[in-house]
Parts: sequence; C-alpha cells; structure tokens
Amino acid sequence: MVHSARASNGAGVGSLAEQHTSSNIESLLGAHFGFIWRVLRRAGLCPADADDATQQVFMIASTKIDKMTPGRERAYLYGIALKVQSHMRRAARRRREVPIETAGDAPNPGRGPERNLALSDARELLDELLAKLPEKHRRVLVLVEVEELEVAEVALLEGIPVGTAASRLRLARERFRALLQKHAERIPFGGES
Amino acid sequence: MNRDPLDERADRLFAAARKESPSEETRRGILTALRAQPAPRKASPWRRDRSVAFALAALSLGTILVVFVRISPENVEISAESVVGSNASKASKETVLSEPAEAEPTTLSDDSSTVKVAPSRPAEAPRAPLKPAPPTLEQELAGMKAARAALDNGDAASALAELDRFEQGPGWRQLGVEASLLRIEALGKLGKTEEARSRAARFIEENPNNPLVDRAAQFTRSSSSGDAETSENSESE
Repeated sequence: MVHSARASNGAGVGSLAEQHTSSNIESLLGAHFGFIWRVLRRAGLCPADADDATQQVFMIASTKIDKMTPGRERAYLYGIALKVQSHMRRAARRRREVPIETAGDAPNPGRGPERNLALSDARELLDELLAKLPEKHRRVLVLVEVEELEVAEVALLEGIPVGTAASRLRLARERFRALLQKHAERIPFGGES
Repeated sequence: MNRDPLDERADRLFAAARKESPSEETRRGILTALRAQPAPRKASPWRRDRSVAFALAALSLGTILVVFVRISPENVEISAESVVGSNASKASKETVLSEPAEAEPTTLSDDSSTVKVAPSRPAEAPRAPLKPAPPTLEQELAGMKAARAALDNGDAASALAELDRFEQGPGWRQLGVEASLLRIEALGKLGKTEEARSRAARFIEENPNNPLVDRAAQFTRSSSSGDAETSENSESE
C-alpha cells in the first residue's frame, strides 16, 4: 500500500517534471526558432539542411535543458547550433553533396515574382560573400547585421571579450566591403531597398 | 547625411537575409518531434551505486592522506586514543614525542587522560577584506539596458543616474567604452553640450580604433553646431 502510494506519487512528480521540461523546450523553440534557423542558414547550410540542423539543435537542447543557466538559453542554443552546423558541413563535404535548393523561404505571393527573385539573388550573393570571410568574422557580422544584436550581446554568445568582438566586427565589415566592391554589378533590386 | 552607396548595397543584402524565415511547417515538425521524444533516461541504480563507491573511495584516500601529513616529522600529532591504547599496560609514564627542538614537547599521560600536543601552526595573520566580485557581462548589459531604456524614454537624467549607480556599485569592466558613449548622449540630451563635447573629444582620443568612434565624432560635430538631439535622432533612424 505504502509502496503503491509512493510509486504513484513518484510517477506524478516525474510526469510533472517532464511536463515542465517539455513546456520549457517548447517556449525555447518559440523564442529562438527563427534566430537559430537564420544563424544556421547564414553558416552556409541550404534551407533543407538548416531545417534538419535546427531540429537537431532543439532535440539536443531538450536533453540538456537542466544544464541551461536561466537567462542564457540563447547562448546555450547558439553553442549547440555551432557544433551541429560544423558537423553537418563536414558530413556534407564527405558525401560531396550539392544542395538542390538554393532559394530561401517559400516565395511570398504578396511580394510579386520579381521581388522574390531579387531577394533570393541577394541572399545567394550574401552567402557567397560570407563564405569568403573567416569563420569567426562571418559569425560576428551575421549576428550584428542580420540579427541586429549589440556587440556586447555578440561577445556573450561567442564567449569572447567585448573588445575582441568589436575588433572582429570592424575587420569583418572591412573585408565584406572589399568583397562587395568586386561584385558591385551583381547587387539585385536596383534602387529599391 | 549621404551614405556610401556600397554601405547601402550591403544593407540591402543583410535586409534580404533578415526577411528570410523558416516555414511554419518546419516549426510544427520540430514541435512534434520534441513531443514524441522519449523522456530522458534516469541514471541506473548500478551507475548510482558506482558513483557512491567512487566517492567513498576518494573520501577514504583523502582521510589517509590527511593522517599521513599530520604525522610528518615537522609536526608530530598523534591521536590520544592510539597512544593511550598502546601504553595502557604501563604506569603513568610520560612520552616525549615531538622531535624538533624549537617546538614544545608533546606530553601524553594515559592515567590522567591529559594530552599536551605540539602547538599547531602559528595563528594566521588577519586576512585583508575581500574585494567585491567583478561584475559579470550580464550585469553590465543589464546596467546598460536600464540606462539606454531611460534615455530612449527621453529621461536623460535617469539614464545618467543609472550610469552613476553602476559606476559607484560594481563598476564597468567590459562595457566601459559603451557606457562612456551613452553618458555623452545623455549629457547632450540634457543640454550639457559643452561637457558632452569635451567627453566625446576625450573618447575619440582614448579609443581611436574603436568602432564607436564614428558615433562620438558625429556627436561632437552635432554638439558644436548645437543640434545634438536632431543629429542623434537622425542617426538612430
């Protein structure tokens, strides 16, 4: 009797804990899904690979959610994303796969075909230029320019001093400008911003 | 102010990347996979027992080590029970155990159960008061965000108060430069243009290679023309 009471009590606590963990990971998914996906996309993964990698990130995170420091979840997820993308890129190189999809998100009918094409071209050019930057510069540039984070937040995510992050950003911007100058004729959507 | 066309082009590329987002289907798929995932396995009893055994082994090893160190010739200390036990048959007899001439002799007498042991290490010098722990980057970010929020709400005085409060408290370690620039902006908004300009000039002089120098330089120009706020607004836009 006592045993069964204990067992049922234990099961109740366990299921409560699981529910708690489950709701935590779901709220993390809601808050950081887009961020993680875009970080993986700009790391050079095609949309399908970015989908898979994002899923991997959150699956791994769900098993380690107890280890996350409250308030630093994004940094934790970012760290997992870096490892996952590195693993996926290595695996893709080994398989020598060429991604079929190069376009980004599904075309938005509201934008019109020309606008969708221009956006797609812009992303393609951006990824081409980013791929020519050193990894650490690329990451800082993407976090600041695409995710619009402050340098201090970038330093927190990257685990580097703020001064180092600022220095990497300056170098990344200089290199990116130089690369862009070489491809000035390829900038899409003429006068439209 | 006319922007460099190359910068504008770069902005368009980054804006295109910002507009890219994963599909809702992907999010739903991940959510389904997360819900279908089995709960993390608990540690098996064997693994738990093994950890306990390791902990006990480490504890015993540590105890042996401590006893061994305490019986070293420099500072002989023997537990009263062991000595009294070994000398139980003898009549009251004093045993001198300490070897170093400088140390007082260690005297043990079993009948009276009084134990005189060698003095332990000399009393430690009073410790200096501990320094307050340096602020973490999160704390600094929180301080900066509070000041920035006040400034964005048009309350420059509160922004300055936040900056002062943090400087008198934990102090800046990594975000000192950003805090200086924020202070300059707040001073400008309060109408203290002269102080803001001199601080901006000092900022540029002390941080010539910092990416924020451009903002400070812009501010000195705008302060000198007496139009700090307008310039700042246009910059933030």
